[in-house]
Amino acid sequence: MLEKQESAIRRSAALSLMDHVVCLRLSGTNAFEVLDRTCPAELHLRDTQMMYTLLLDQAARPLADVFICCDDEDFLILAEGMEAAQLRDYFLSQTLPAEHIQVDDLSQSHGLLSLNGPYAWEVLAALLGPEVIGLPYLTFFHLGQTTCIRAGKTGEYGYDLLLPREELEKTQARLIELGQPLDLELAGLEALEQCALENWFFNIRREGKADLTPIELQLQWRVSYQKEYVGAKALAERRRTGPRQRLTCLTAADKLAVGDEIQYQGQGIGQLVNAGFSHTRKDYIGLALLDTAYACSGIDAYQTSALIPVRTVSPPVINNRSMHVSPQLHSYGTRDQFEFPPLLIG
Amino acid sequence: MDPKLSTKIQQRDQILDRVRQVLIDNLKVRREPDEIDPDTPLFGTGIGLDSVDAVELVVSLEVEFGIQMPNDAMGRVTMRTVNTLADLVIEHQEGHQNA
Amino acid sequence: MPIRRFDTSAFTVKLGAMVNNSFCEQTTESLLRLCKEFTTTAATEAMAQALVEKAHLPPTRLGLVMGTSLGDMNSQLHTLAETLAETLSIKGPCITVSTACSSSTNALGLARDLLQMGSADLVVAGGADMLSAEVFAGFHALGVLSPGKCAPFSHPMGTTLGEGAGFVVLESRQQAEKRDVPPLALLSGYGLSADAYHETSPDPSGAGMRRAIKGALLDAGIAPGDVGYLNAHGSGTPANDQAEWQGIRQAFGDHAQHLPVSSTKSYLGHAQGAAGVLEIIVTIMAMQRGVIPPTLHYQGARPHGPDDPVAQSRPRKTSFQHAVCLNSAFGGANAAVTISRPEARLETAVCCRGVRVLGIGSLDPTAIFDLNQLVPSADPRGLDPETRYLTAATAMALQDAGISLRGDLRSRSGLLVGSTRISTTKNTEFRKSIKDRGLSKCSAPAFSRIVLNAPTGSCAKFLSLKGPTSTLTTGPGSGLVAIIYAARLLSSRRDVDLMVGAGVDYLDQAAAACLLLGQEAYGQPSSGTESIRVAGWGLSGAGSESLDLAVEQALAMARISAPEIQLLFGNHRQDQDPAKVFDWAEAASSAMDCVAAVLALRQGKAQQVMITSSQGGSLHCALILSKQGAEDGS
Repeated sequence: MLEKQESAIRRSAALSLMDHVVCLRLSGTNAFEVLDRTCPAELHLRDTQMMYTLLLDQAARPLADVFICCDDEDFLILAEGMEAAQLRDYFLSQTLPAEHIQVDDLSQSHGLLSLNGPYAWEVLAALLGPEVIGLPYLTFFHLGQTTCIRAGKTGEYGYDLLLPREELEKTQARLIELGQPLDLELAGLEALEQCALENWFFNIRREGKADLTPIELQLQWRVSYQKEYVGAKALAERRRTGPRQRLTCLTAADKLAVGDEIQYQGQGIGQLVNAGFSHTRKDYIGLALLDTAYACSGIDAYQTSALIPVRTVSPPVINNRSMHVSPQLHSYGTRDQFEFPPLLIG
Repeated sequence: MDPKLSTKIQQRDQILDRVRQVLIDNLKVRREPDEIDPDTPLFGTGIGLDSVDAVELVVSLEVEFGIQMPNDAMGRVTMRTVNTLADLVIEHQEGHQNA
Repeated sequence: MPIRRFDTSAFTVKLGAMVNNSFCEQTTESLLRLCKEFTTTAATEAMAQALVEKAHLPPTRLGLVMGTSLGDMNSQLHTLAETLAETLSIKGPCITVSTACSSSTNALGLARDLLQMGSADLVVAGGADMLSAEVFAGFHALGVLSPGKCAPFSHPMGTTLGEGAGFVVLESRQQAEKRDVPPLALLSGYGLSADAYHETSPDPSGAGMRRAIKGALLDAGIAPGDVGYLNAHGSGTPANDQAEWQGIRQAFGDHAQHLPVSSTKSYLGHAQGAAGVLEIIVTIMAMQRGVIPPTLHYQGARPHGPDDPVAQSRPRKTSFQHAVCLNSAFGGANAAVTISRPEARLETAVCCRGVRVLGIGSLDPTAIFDLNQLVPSADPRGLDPETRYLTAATAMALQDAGISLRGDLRSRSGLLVGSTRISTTKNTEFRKSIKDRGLSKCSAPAFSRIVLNAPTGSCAKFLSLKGPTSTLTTGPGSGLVAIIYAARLLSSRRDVDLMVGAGVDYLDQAAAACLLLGQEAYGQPSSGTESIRVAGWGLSGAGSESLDLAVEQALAMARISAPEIQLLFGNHRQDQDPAKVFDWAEAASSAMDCVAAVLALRQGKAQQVMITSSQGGSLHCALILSKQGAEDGS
């Protein structure tokens, strides 16, 4: 089951229902101010652009993994890790008395479908038209009631469709039909998370629950030290003292499991906070929180407490087909006429 | 720590620092070196470089490390994160030693 | 043809489309000399064909508008056109448009406007660009050159750089009839737009190019279905050709399926700033002969390309009434013109709408500002000082007017910038990269910013000004000319509500100033505040006697007499002039004069003021601002 799903994400296209993502709309006169105060990153965003960031707690630990979409003067928030009501309260709690914002929970009225894969654009273009093909990464457009977002967390072409609930089933059925010639599969959260792991996409449900700040998580690119926001003080303090551990990607031929200790010469140097079997690579991928002295890519001197040798690597561990597929040149039907580099690296 | 391991880790750290400096000096990345984590993506998300920067990055690294960056498909694989760039440099240096 | 002008051994691409038998040394001087030869030959030929000499028009009524992107070779870019004007005995207004690869397309539109405004009776318009080793290296570094001959919409992908010069002679239909000179074609309309997307890549949605086409059709009064041929920019790069077809599809709807779309670059290569006029000339000649020019080297379609790319080796026998010529450029500057049969009678009532000053922005070198606070969307990575100052001044003008651009208003708001030289910091960076690393390893990011319109493109991007855009230079006074052109577009076009006219300079230190102008029907000022009207303007030649001509035009347009002007700014600087003078800030200082004039009006120091350009530029100009209703009292 999983193998087929992962294979579709890596080789053709896969369709997923994204019920684990909540969607809010922030509007009102002070929407920007409130968002700027809560978001740890500089909001260099223009209409139809989106960015990847986090929401932090006071101790600078991630509460949510979010996409912020700048929609004219409103903002769409796609978040994982928080319930809609929690997220709404989070924004409202950061609103000053004189400010006006409105937070609408779109998760009630709308559903989210996701297409991922090197030929995901081809399926979507069949549904929405050729506009999809030129849609740049991290931008979106509206088409009637539908919002089409190009993002994704698999390292492949990824599109999210935000649709009214009543359209959801019909659109899903239509995409399955249109995807048939492209060997489209339905993929669940487990397959999406495995692909995210292989491509070093942050998982709020795994490493996000390990009591870490963006510094240990290697997510400093998603935060700024030049602005005020929730958790900014704690983060600056952690930066000053320096992290004791750092998240490091590793691979192993045998089973890795969350909680496994990583050892060097019999001494514990860290622990696995995320792990899974890659059906694409036929090996195990893990994320270990290693003592900074040992947190380094390209080392094969470590092993788990079960004596399974591991090798630290530089993710992504997949040579994503999407990097080599161009809508200008390729299509699923003609894929055999081209020679693509292998999916495996090294 | 075994001296061989510690040398290996130090060597990578030094290469990472030089790659960070190239990013700051040549690509005008407005970050302090310690803000640039080893596994930070270079293009799209992460540091947010674009296709115009890609060329500059290749040339800058070739000049900084005296290496030849691979063209086309393989180039894209080596240019994903700060760490994958370091991999390439290390691979080149090791190849040099063995030659 | 393999390039022989310079050594291409370090490059993977060797092809270039040079002008035949054009040998010159690889020095800037010798390239510029050759460029002068090209422009003189082309313009003289055009003027001879139009029998200009026999018309016996006063030289002060002849104008010249030239498009070029040779800014990296000449720090006084306006002097190329000035020299040409001198050679041709043209003594009327002389303007250089520099919007990279859409320069000459835009130049023809501006020339048409000069005629309609009454600033000239005949205008020679076109452009020229040269293929230098540096330009070749820059495009090579960007990875947009084709290994084979440029094959638009087909394979292999990429462009082939070229060079050349082309000029046309424009005059009103009435004058041509009076002179009994048969016109070759009618320049029936033009449209400009900004992608507001990226420094070098076109907006892949094609929306920018769609706006330029739509603007041209609206300007001409032509329905999309009446267009029989589209001469595409068709540079051959995957990014352009894909985006362009999207734009064409959106602009023409169902008609796009039947519209022949071909690219002349398959014949001539990409002549950069001269490409537009060369392609327009080809289109005019094709129209006269009742044929449609094909796209050469077409070996099978790329996915998502034109339905009818005219893929054949010989011209197709088909006559057409109207054609559109489209170009796009670095900095996201798009330009389209419509070419119609000379006998075409179109409903093109030139509207003459009122224009008001809505906001001002001004930054001198001592100004302290926080760009991030003014424009949170602006990512400051790698920005040159010109861009930072221009963007901040423009944001200040929008703030001053209390306007936030949202929704469709973005597409109806434009940006016109006067500047004198390309970014010195980026040019130094580019030269240094060549010196340190060799030509084949030049800096692509620096190259992408050594066009005069780079700050304009970035500013438009950061502030989402997606309407008409242009960048021009006349040397000193460039800022004022940009403001006048902005006012002209607002008064004559129906696709725009707001325009920013700005001047920006950098020479060791930066300065920028701008006016935000609004079309009269756009948002009424709140009661109690007096609004400021753009009452009149005039443009004339650079000769010392010509300033009076510009002033006369402006006074006539404002329907007032000279004594009614209470304060003068610019050339006739008075003691009460609060504007600081920066001799080096040739473009910005004239825009600062306008800002000072607006402040004087706001402070009640005068009811009517005039701003004129200072000596030394390639034209004279005058702008009259008055308080709303001021003329009623006189």
